[in-house]
Amino acid sequence: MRRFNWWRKSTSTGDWTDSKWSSYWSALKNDDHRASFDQTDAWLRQVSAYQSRMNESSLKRRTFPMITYIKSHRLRFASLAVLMLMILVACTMPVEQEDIVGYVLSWTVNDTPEAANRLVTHFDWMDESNLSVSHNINNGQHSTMYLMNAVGVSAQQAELWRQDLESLSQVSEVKMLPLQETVTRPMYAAALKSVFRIEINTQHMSSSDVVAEMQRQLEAAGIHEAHVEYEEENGERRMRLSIPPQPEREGQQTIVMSITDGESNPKHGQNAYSFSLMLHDGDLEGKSEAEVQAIVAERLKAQSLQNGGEWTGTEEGQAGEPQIVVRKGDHVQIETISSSTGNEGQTVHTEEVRVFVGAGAEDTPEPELHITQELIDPAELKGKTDAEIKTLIEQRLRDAGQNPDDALIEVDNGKIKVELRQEKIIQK
Amino acid sequence: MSLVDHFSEALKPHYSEALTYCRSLCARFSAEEAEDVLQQALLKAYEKFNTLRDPTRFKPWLFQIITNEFHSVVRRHFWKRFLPLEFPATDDENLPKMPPVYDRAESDETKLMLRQALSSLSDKERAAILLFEIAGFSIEEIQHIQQEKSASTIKSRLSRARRKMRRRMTAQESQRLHTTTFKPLIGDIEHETLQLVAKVNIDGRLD
Repeated sequence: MRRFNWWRKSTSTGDWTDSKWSSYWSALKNDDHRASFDQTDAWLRQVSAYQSRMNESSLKRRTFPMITYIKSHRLRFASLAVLMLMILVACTMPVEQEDIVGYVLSWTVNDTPEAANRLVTHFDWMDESNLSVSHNINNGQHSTMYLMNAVGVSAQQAELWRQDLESLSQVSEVKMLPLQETVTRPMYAAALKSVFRIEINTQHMSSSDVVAEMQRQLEAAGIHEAHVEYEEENGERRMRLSIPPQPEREGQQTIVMSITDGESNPKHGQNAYSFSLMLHDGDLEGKSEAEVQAIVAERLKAQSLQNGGEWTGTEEGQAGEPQIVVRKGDHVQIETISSSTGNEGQTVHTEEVRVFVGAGAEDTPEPELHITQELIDPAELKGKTDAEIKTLIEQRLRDAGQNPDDALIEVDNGKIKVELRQEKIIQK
Repeated sequence: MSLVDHFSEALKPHYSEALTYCRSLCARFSAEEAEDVLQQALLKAYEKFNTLRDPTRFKPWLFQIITNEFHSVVRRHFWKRFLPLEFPATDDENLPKMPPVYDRAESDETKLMLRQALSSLSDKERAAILLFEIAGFSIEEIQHIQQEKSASTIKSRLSRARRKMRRRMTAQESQRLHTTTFKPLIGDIEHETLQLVAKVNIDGRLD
């Protein structure tokens, strides 16, 4: 009734009466399709029979189309899975890289310890905290051997220091040895480290500006004496870069160069530098993370690891503050990052220091450094047995302030070799 | 009794109405296309018949399936204009084809006029008025079939559909009067009166 009232109300306009409206719809409603029902019923039964003929596997295929799809392309999916696994392994597999983390300078001053000390402190770059001194008296003649551990110093700077030392007449046997460490990194990190990138936006830059900028970036990255040619002819630009062998950058052969014209955002280059620092196991016992950070900061500060030999500080929020990124018990990995802005704010150099402490440093073997020094005049050895010679050497070592137990003494039919292991150079 | 027996038994009382509804709903389509819609709807209904909990609700359930299938066919037609994709053969294509159930050549003038008027409606308006007039569903049932939130939506939809149809059918009637073989005489009062009535119905005003 409700339906009827609403409908009567909406149809009571114009000359369209209910009866006229109904007569139209009646024509349609009177359509009788019942005659075709039997045909439709028969068709439905055919469909039913067809569906029952379908085997179980095809029904499953309809029910689980994704599983069916994967099964039908299992070779493709399997190869994709293997490929993904290989990429994952390639990215995470640890590889060893040799890094030059600094230089060891050794020299001998043929003078008394006091005079030698005065001579050494003459240089303002001399860092006494990194200095190892051994004094010897040979036939009443004094000689003092110095070893300086210059971690984080470039080859160029170490070479200048070596020349400074050689300029002194009292100084002899000046040697400069690279301090190498085997560092274990994931493969992707090793690949990244072996890539050196040059990025220059040449907009509003002349050819000479581009060459100067490129040389500046190469120098900043530690690549010296590179020869850059830049030519422009008939709108064509040509650049030739030749780099002499760089012993300092051994193993880092890939250079990526990006030179762009036109508008672009300032480019950021990254020059990552990392090394390992050993601490005594006892240094970490019962220490909080903040205390460990403070210890590492102090050690880094002592070794002047930052650019230009200046530690940027350890206050909170300041660049260069060491951050503990991994700590499992006494295994600690600490990362410090300091940034310096390059030319016109376009290039940012980031220095990164990783410190492995305690058992965590197992992967970074301690560098071995053997210094051989003659302690005894061969004339003194005449008529002495091997055992007597060994005793004499031990005595001389004690006189020189060394512990004979730390030395390797070999005497074989009068041939003598004494090696002092300079462990404290690294564990200082 | 098998599933097909149950389904056939449930379908039989509503079969004729369902076919009329489907053909009128597909007023803009050919008889073959209307049969495709019906075939797909009946197949779906048969396959899902087990899921119907209340057998007394078979009629609105069947008409809802027909309506949904019609909308999906309309959508498919729409996207085919932009994406003329060739779909791979499926198992469904191997199913037996439904026998023809609709007349290929409709001769009834009234039905043709009504279908033309229906084709001027939107798809939802057409479905609503057909569900109301042919299937005899209440407003609430149409609301459920068309999945609308309020009954007033259906009421206004029906009212709008009816108004559109009335306008279209009046125009068709008037056109039919003009094209009739009857030759009017000058001063024929009856003819002039019919013309005047037609004009008022079309324009709603008298100049």
